[in-house]
Amino acid sequence: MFVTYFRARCRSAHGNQLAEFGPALLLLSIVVVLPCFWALSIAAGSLVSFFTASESAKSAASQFTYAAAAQAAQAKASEIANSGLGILVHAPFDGSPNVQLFLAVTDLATHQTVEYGPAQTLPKEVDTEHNLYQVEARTLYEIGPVWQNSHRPNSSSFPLLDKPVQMVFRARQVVEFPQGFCAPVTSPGLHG
Amino acid sequence: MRYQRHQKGSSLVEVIVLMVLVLAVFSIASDLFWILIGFSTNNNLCARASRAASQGAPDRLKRGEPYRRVMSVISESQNSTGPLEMSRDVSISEQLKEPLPDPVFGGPVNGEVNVTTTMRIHPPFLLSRFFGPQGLALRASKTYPFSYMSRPQ
Repeated sequence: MFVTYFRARCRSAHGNQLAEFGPALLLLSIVVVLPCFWALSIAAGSLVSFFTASESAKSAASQFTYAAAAQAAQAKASEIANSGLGILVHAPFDGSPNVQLFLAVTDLATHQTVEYGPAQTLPKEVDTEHNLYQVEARTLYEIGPVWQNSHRPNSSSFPLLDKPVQMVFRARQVVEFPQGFCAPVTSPGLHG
Repeated sequence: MRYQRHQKGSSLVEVIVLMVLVLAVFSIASDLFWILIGFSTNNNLCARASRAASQGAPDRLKRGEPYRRVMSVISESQNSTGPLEMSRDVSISEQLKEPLPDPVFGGPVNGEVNVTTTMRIHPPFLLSRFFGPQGLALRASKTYPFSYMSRPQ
């Protein structure tokens, strides 16, 4: 009679949707929501990093000397890193220095570009008739791994899964006064 | 007798319909992302090309010089493959104020140069159906004053 009672008793269908809702929500968050947040954080970091490079290049391009350009680029990078956006994506991206400055000299006839830098002035005399001078700011953004797996012995084998990936963002601007970006010329006649 | 719809497999149908919708949303978001990147790239390139043209001699003083300078900037992104295609159709116009610098004594050029660039964007997913094989053409136009100083001969 006891067995008959249990066979005859059916599981109640009421509330089964509520019981499925919890696991479904958990699965949805693991499969969809968390990767979306991760992708959004990468996108935000990349955009802020590129924005930093772009603004630093703009600031550097309008300076009179290379030293002033480097200072202006760093100041702009620090300004963005201390703003709300920078704090949101944990800037500065690669510690110090935030921005590396390069100088790109493009031959107007052949369109070939030679780069100098980082922290290097133009070695040759400026010739604006035949060359185009641009300043290039580079920022480094490190994308962290999906999970920190430090217990595994071979934990640095898969980029982006186990170890971080570094992305470099570059922005160029035409230099307004390229004469100031040359190495200072010392006149031998002045000091004998 | 009342007909009852069979409930078996309905969840599978719901999941598939939902996945199709989610994939459509993701592909449209990806296409919009490329359009945004293309818009920004085209604007930046146009500004740099215009600035480069303003540093050189105007077309009236040196034939083809603004075009040469603009193309030196544009050519940087010509080799890029993918959804963004920088068009070689570049429009350059200049407005010069008289008098032009004397060729013997030289002097500054008074005027401005306008550069218009075009970027064709080929969205990789759903939106490509709307734009066809030509893609979405985005134009950018920038004007800079000449900073060129003509040298005395």
